[in-house]
Amino acid sequence: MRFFDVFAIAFAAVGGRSDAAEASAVFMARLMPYRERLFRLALAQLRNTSDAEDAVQEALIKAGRNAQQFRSESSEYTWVVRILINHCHDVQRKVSRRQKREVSGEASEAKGATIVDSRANTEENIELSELSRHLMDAVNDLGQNYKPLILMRYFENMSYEDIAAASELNLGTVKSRMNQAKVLLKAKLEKLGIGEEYLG
Amino acid sequence: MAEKRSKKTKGAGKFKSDAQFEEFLQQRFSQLRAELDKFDRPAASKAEGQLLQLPQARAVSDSSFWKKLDSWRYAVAATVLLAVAIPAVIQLNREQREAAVATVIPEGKTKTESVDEAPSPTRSVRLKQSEREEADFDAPRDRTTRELPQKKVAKTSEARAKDRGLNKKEDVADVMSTREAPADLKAMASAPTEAKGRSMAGDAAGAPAPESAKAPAASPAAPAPYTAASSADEERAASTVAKRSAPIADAQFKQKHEQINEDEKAEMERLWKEFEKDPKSFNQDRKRSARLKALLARHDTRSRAKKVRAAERQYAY
Repeated sequence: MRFFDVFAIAFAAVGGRSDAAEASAVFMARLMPYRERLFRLALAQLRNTSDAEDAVQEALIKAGRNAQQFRSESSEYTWVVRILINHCHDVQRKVSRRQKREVSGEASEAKGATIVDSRANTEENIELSELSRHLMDAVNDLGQNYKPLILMRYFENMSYEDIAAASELNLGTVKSRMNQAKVLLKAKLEKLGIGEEYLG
Repeated sequence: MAEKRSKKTKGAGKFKSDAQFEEFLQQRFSQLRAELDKFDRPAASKAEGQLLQLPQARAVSDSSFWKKLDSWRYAVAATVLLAVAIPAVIQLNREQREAAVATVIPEGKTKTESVDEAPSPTRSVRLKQSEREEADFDAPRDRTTRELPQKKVAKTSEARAKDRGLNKKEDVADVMSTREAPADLKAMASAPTEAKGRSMAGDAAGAPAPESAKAPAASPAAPAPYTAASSADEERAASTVAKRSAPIADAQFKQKHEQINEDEKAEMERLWKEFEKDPKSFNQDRKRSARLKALLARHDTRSRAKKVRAAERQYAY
């Protein structure tokens, strides 16, 4: 291979990358107006303002990076909502794992000191009404298959079609999973003593 | 009332139907949204974070300069340029250095020759030849070692010429006459006159003049002792001058080197003869065979070296 061939290939690769970067920047710029809504969704799950803000940022960056994977079957917003819900789920998993470690005392034994959850007792933690807290706890316990569907359907008021497009699932699958999710959620809430008397 | 109360307690914590549960979820989530609306984003009041603002700003801004600057193209171009430029500069430097070394020798030559400007043609040619021979002789095989002595020779000859006030344009004969000739040259120069004197004296005495004395006397148009000398004498004189122009240390080194070479060659020949006589017994003496191999390698006699190796292999087992 001659020197100029290498040069041309390198330039082509670089040019391609720069185009992709530009496309992702444009994509992110289009999502900026939804930041407030996304923040609210993240806050509902994480119940910590700074964590929610970080999650929104991360979700937007992820969306920007994978802008070329976006197939325009759903709206950009619904696509980012799914990314954000999944990211929040990961964050929660990490936090719960850390908390479990602290409880079992593994960390304290290993390091000789107790690791305190940085999220505990900080001003950034928000206080929700008892009912809302129970509801979100139950939703968070649903798991990766059902939680996004419930949040998209009831928190974001998305149609089944939008949910199906955003989740890249069939409409039938979405409907059946939604039914299962509702059954599970109902059971959880009833276990907590929340019933029809809470209907306004 | 009691019935009603019991019914209520029975139905507590239960949803009668899915529609009711659906309605409950709608209500609770709308309430949750309302609750969450009270909370502002921490970054909302502050300046926007760099991470999100930068791409946005770049995408929105019309400045093509920033777009260009942003791209990786320039980084790659700079890297490639560096990769090309650095070796090129190194190569250029090397060429310049070589050119400088090459010009040092001609300079030295021209300066020493400028001393001999407008000389009698034969003498100048002889001097140039001797200089050239000297330069060739001085040049060792190694390049780095070649550069240094040549510079040194050129500089020292120039300096000596200056010291002796020979940087004037004069005739070679004058130059040579003004130069302080060494003892051997002086003796050589005075030899013909002495011979002549002797021959004349001999003639006067009636004795036959020696032939060696007659020959130099046969050239009557000699303006100076040097030009009066025969061509053989001239050659000798030229070589003496050439030798004189070389630094003493170098000359000694050359002599020593030559001697060592000759000695080594003689030793090599001797060992080779021994080897040819009886290769088997020769190979048994490891020291001698190793020495022969080293000498053969040093004096570049590959065919002999091959033979030695073949014999070694043959008698090894």
